Amino acid sequence: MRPHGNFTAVVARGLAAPTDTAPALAITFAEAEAHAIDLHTGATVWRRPVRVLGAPVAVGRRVAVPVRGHKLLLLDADTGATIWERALPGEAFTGVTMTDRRVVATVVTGDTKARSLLVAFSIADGSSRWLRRSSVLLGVPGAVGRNVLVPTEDEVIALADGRGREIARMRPPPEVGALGRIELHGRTVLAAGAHAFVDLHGGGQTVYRIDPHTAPAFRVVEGLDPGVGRDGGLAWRLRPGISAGAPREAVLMARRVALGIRLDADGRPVTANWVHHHDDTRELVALDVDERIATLVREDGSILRLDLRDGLVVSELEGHKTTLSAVIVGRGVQGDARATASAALDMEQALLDLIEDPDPRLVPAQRLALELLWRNDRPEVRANLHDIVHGAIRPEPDAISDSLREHAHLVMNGPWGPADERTRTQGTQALAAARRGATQRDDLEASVAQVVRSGNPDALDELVGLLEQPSLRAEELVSITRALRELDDHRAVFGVATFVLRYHADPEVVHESQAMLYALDFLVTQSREDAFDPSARARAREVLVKLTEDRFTVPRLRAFLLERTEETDALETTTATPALQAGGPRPGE
Amino acid sequence: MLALTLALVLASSNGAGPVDHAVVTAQAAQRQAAMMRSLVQRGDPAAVSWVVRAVTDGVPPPVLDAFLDAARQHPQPAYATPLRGLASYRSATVRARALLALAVIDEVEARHAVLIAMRDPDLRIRVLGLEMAETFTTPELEEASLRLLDRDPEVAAARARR
Repeated sequence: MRPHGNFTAVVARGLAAPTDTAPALAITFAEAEAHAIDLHTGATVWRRPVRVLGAPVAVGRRVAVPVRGHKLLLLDADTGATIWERALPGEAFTGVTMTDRRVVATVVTGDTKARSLLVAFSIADGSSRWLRRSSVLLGVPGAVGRNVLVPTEDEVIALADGRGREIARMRPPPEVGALGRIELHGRTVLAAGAHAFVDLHGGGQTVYRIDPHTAPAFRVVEGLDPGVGRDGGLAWRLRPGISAGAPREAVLMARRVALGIRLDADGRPVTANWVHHHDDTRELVALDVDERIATLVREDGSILRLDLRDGLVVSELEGHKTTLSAVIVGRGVQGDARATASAALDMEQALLDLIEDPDPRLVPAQRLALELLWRNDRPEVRANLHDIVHGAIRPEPDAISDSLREHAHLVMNGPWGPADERTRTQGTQALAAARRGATQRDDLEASVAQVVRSGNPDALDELVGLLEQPSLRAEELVSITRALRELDDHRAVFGVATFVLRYHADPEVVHESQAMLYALDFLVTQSREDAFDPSARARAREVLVKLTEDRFTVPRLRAFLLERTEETDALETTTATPALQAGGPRPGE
Repeated sequence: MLALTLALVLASSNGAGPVDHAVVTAQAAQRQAAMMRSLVQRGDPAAVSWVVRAVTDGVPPPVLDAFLDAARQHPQPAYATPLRGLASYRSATVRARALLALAVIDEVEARHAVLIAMRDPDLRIRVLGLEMAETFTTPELEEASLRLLDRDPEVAAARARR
């Protein structure tokens, strides 16, 4: 069936429905028990035996729990009492959602003609209200108001919950990939694949991408719910935003760590607002996010609530029971009103501390941390990735450290800085125009500064190419060579080498500005033992040797080179082997 | 890097003060310029190879001047690459002379030289481009001249004053 209906209106109407404001409960699920805890007092509200199988869903004061035996159990969240229990059709459970009058589940069958079923039960008495068959696999459904949204591989179908009548169908952009689930994050409705998700508000054109090398955004669903406790300890939640489609904040839960992240207009993580990373070895098993609080449940049943503004702990409740999963019911408790922590958190250090943690469970979070460092607008922060690649940070020769080095290398080949793609491209185009001699001169230095903050790799080519532009004023040449020095990218070595060789014996050019000194400084850095690229290092060294041996090298350059190479030698000496430093045997003795 | 530092220190510590150093360097540059002229004039493969390498590795202004003058008198195809590089030198004088030397290598390089000159940021070199187009004329370069006069009022005005 082709896309049809007004999907935007379907979502908007559903979001207009009132949300639950009753007191908040955390309902945790262990292997054979459910336990409801008052989030305000920490008191147990009820306990009962439940053999949970799949991911439970809470809507209002009801909780739908897929249980062993291929059944669906509906509980009263305030008492834990069974409202009803029903057998599911089909062979295996996919997902469940609820409106205020229906519980709707998707299951897979063994039938090749009807691979999935969508079944709806009355929330009042569990009677079967309608059933639809699908020739394609269905994913985990979601609900907005009285509309049920069901993902197929490449479409989202909206059905009225009353009789299951299809009211709209839409096809998200193909870059989202195979759709596995519908998720409601505050007032944001997402159709999600493993590495991208689309905001269904406004026609489903806002796509958020999670780098595939970092972590799957959501658990992969291929017709089957992988079951509680089997999601790799990863969860993403978008923080409810000001309006649908605006850049948002998100929380990533990754095993032992939680990060508060800001997303850019393209949906990519751009900055870390906070990092919750401590020596606590307990794993996080569930994450819930509302407007102000992130609620995290640990594997021992303890519950942590963090302020979304700064990641600081609002409250912590002890746990005493192994916990696989949890749902949060109600939003009555918002935490104590307080000012945001006045001390500026050193986010760079927090991310580096995370990266240096040897716990192999943290790799997805560590990869994200690498990307967040690379998206900083300051080159000196991004330089940490150079140190990671070369083992100055996390030097251990183990497989995990190797994989992080590899990921850092991959990230460094891509765009840098916080700006979105459009802004970065504009920066490159401005430089290209300057290179053609087509731009107003007073724009060039601003464009160069912008590229240093955020840029694409092709901007580097334009910067290097500008060294050949004879019309540049001396101060413009300074801004370009300084930018190349700050970006410290080995790919610029060959162009800078040509520039330095050409003018190293020309006193007029050497003395007109500091440009040659910045260029030389760049080559000295690239000539170090820990430089990024061997061929670039070799070329840099070749040029420096030529300058050294050429009697016509302008004295100003010679003096600068002497000073810089003495500093470099001192640095390389202090990082030499401990045996040398202690006066022990030299190599070869 | 230790070897590099040592070489720099030895090169700097010849006991000469700054003024003495400038005089010594100027004298050396003149000698180098004379050698450059001689090698360009000689034009054998070894000499050409040395010239190309020296210019590519960067030479002081007197030596560069010697090369540009001599290359115009004794063109070689091998000089095309370093001359094209010098066509973007920061000094307009160097650029102009490089383009003149490039143009006398052959027809292909003459075309390149003219078109490069016509795009130069310096008015004098763009006017030189027009003049070179008249010397190394082809239908393409005639058309390029007309386009230059059309888009560049400064060039047109300079031409009109001649």
